[in-house]
Amino acid sequence: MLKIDCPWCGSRNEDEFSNGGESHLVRPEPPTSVTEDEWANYLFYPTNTKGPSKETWFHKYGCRQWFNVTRNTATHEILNVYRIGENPPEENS
Amino acid sequence: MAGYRLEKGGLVGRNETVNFTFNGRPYVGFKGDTLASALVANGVSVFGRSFKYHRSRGLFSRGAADPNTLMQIGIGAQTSPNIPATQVPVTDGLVANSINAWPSVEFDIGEINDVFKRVLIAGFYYKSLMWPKWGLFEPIIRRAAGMGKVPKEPDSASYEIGNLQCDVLVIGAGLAGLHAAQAAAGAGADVIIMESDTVAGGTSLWSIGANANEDVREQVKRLVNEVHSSPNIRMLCSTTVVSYHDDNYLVAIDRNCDVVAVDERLIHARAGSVVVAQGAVERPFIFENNDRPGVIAADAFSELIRRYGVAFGKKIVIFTNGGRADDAIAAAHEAGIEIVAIVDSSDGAGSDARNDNRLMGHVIKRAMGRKRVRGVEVVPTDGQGSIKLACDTVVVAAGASAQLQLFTQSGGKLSYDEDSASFLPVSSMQNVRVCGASNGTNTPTSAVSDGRWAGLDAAASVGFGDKPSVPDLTRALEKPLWFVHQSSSKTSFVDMQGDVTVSDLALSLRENFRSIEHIKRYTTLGMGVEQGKISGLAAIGVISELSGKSPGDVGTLKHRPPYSPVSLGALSAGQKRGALLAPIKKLPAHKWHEKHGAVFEDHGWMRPTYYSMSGETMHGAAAREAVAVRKNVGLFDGTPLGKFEIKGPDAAKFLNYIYAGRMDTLKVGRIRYGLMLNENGSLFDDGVVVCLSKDHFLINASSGHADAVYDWLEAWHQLEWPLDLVIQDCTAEWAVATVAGPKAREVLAALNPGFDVSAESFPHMSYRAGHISGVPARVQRVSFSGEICYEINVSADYGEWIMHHVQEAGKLFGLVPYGIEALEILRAEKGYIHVDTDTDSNTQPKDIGFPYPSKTKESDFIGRRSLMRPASHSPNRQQLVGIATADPDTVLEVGAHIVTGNPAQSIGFITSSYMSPNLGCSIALALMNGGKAATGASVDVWSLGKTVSGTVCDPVFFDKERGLLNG
Ligand SMILES: [Zn+2]
Repeated sequence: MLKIDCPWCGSRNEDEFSNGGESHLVRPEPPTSVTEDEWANYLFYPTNTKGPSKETWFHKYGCRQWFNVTRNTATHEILNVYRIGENPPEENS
Repeated sequence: MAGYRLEKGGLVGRNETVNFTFNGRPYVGFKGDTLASALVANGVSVFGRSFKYHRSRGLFSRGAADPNTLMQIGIGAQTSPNIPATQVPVTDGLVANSINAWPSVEFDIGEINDVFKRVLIAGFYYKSLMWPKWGLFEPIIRRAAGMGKVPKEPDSASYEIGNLQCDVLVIGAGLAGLHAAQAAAGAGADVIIMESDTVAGGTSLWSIGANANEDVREQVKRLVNEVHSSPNIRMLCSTTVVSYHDDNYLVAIDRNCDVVAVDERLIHARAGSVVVAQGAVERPFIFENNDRPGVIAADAFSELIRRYGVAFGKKIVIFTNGGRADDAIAAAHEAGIEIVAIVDSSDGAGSDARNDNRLMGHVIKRAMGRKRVRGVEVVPTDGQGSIKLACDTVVVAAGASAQLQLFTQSGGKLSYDEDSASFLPVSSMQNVRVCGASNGTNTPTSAVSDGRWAGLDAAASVGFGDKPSVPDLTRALEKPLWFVHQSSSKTSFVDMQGDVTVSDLALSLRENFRSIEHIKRYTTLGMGVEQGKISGLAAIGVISELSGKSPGDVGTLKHRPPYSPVSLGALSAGQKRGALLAPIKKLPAHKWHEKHGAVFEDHGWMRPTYYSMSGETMHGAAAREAVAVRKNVGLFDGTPLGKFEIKGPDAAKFLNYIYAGRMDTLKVGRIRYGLMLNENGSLFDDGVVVCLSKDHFLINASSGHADAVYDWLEAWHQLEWPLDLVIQDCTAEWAVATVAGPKAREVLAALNPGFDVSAESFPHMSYRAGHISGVPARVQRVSFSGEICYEINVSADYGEWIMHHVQEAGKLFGLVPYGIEALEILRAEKGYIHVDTDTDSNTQPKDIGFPYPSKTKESDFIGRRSLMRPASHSPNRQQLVGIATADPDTVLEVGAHIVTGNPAQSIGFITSSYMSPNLGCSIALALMNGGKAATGASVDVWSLGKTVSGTVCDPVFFDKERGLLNG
């Protein structure tokens, strides 16, 4: 049971949240000029990082806000949490 | 000869007797006894039968580790299976029974399996019990292999749930754990210590260790008192930590619940830092018949004498590896038990000369006797000859198995240490440290300094005090004897509970199983209740020797929760059972439905399936209701329909992204049907969009998808298109009375909603706001039945009122209430789909007759690019079709396959199927490869060995011209 720091509500148990997969994914558009490969990459090829991975999480049973989490997928350690639209903390400077 | 109570000694209350029964016979024990110690004191040797071969088994180990004494505890509703007798405190009136023994432990029909050992080898289940023969074996195997019985009555025990938080959580209240707790508390941390035993103190309560100078029995009693009275330590005995999760979240079962008068308490604990101090247990020596009753681990033997005042036998042979059995030898002397011989597998080099009857460089080749050991055959490790010794007990001290299951659950890694022949913790993934015998220490001095270090280090890690320096620890030097080579491997048991022998492990290696995890699954090693506590390291040692790899290269087994058995009742703690298992959502008009004979089903909401008139079956009632809707008019409760309002300047633009169809051209007061796709272009949900005003829309989602659609809208709005709008879930705010049928308009008119209800001014797919008897109402003219239909939305507070009111207005027109089952028939007659019922994860709009994207839609939408993939245009895609059976009375099975060729291949399947009371024939919807082009073709539909012939047809069976709908 991870302890997740919602940027809006603070520290809460994992079972209030749901995971939305990798974040900072760029959705290719417009569809008429997106190639098969670009679309396949977007749909089917997540980086599936072993180690620190940037993910989106949804505070479903809380504020219902989505936010970003950097989580080590090998250890489940949460390295940082930041809002949608923000850069990851280490890239802020 | 068997065990007996000693004249004196032990920590049991000799003045307080308790009466209990085992396998129907009455026995007397003392307060402080476990069921195991009391049974041994009463001379019981055979506790039960083994899982596979039904061999007699007796007490071997202690605490949670014992593999052989699983009991069925209690009777009737309160019975619990598979609890080791070593973990059950005896109490007055306790009823215990052996598991796996029918008709009795003394005479077990299953022992015949012992004779067939050669066929019940590793992988037997995988090799033999395969379909189609599985059905033949299953009942026999289940009966023979069943472990315990589940109660037939509802559990009458009570459970509660508790949440705890602390800075430092210590698991295990032995010498190391108590010192860790005291040190951490001394640094200012808030400490909880959990001990699965009924009392604190651990093995130090009764073990004097290898060196008599270090008798810590008095010291540990003082320590327990100090810890008990410490203000910032909470000590929970009879509390077993069963699982260790992320971020130091641990789950424990507290069985000492007298205070709060519940039977068990489920504890969820979150700790800043964790100290694992679970100690170690002796593992078995592996020789022929090492599983016979009378063979006991040295630590269990000593505990019986010094803790319970019980002797396990009268004449013992001790089998040890160097000095490991010294504590047991001392205990035997104290109890006046005759030691026939000490068989020592070590060569004695480097150890002190011992003045006892010791056979150095010897091993036990086999134990003799069936229901109790009668003697042993001893052979030299190198050389010839054998000695037979008569005895009733074999005390074995092969080596320690550190208890690290919870540490590995936490993500901690182990590494093999050659010197101590054990796996030791090397790195942890969480804020956790291991100390004491779990960390391989072998003296009280080491346990104390390791415990103090762990407590201080844990406290420092969460901000209390300074980080201590790492102490020097001593560990036992071991030259392990993993198994006795002179023994027959077929009855040399590595895992007594799973009946896994050395020859089973050898077979799995010969069959090229390499990973220890695969060997585990193939042989069922460590998969019982014992969970590898004593068999794990033993098996790694055996595999290491058989394969010529070092134990470190064999690797360790990943331990999974629970650490020891947990009753299902405890997991339902917090009253999560029966009617309280999940919240029951009732419709606002629930009472009205009840009054009209509704039979409810839980669809997330309790919804009327049908309204029963005297003696009607579900089919009869649904047919009557469906006919009434087509003939006159029906009333349906559509309240659970998902309802979301989207409001803001960008609302139309957003909906254009969400739906495959165009929503920006929708005019105020009009309604449009839309499909939501996922990015794969597959159907996610369908429903209508209502334009309330230029920047204000109401969308409907399928009742069963309402929650998912709400999350979906939020996700796309927040993560992809942060447009200027807000989304509001108003599903539960409106009650919906759906009026459908040729006379629906008359009913609506009679309700006098305050607007013109004529077909010209209120056509199909439009919306009007009005008032019904002064109550504001939103009326949508949409239809899921193909009839003229109005969905009348009023505030949920008026949910019951509107049903009543509509019914009154409809009386003149023959209105009847109808339920889900009738609705299903009506919508299937019209070929209207349910997403996820008539579609699957591959179904795209075109497959159900919607050739999106439309030529005029320029905006992107979710899944649009996927609709352009070549595969999306394949003519052989699975498409929605109707199936008409040759015999109109035959109703197809949902899930039945449409088959072709010889041998038959499935080319599709039935998704919905009903007897249509309005058409007088069976109707079915199906997904079929290239189904559209196959219209008119004859097909065979196969289900459970039966083939039915039919014809592929249009999915719309009723009113193909849509005359009724638009009337
Ligand atoms: Zn939140």
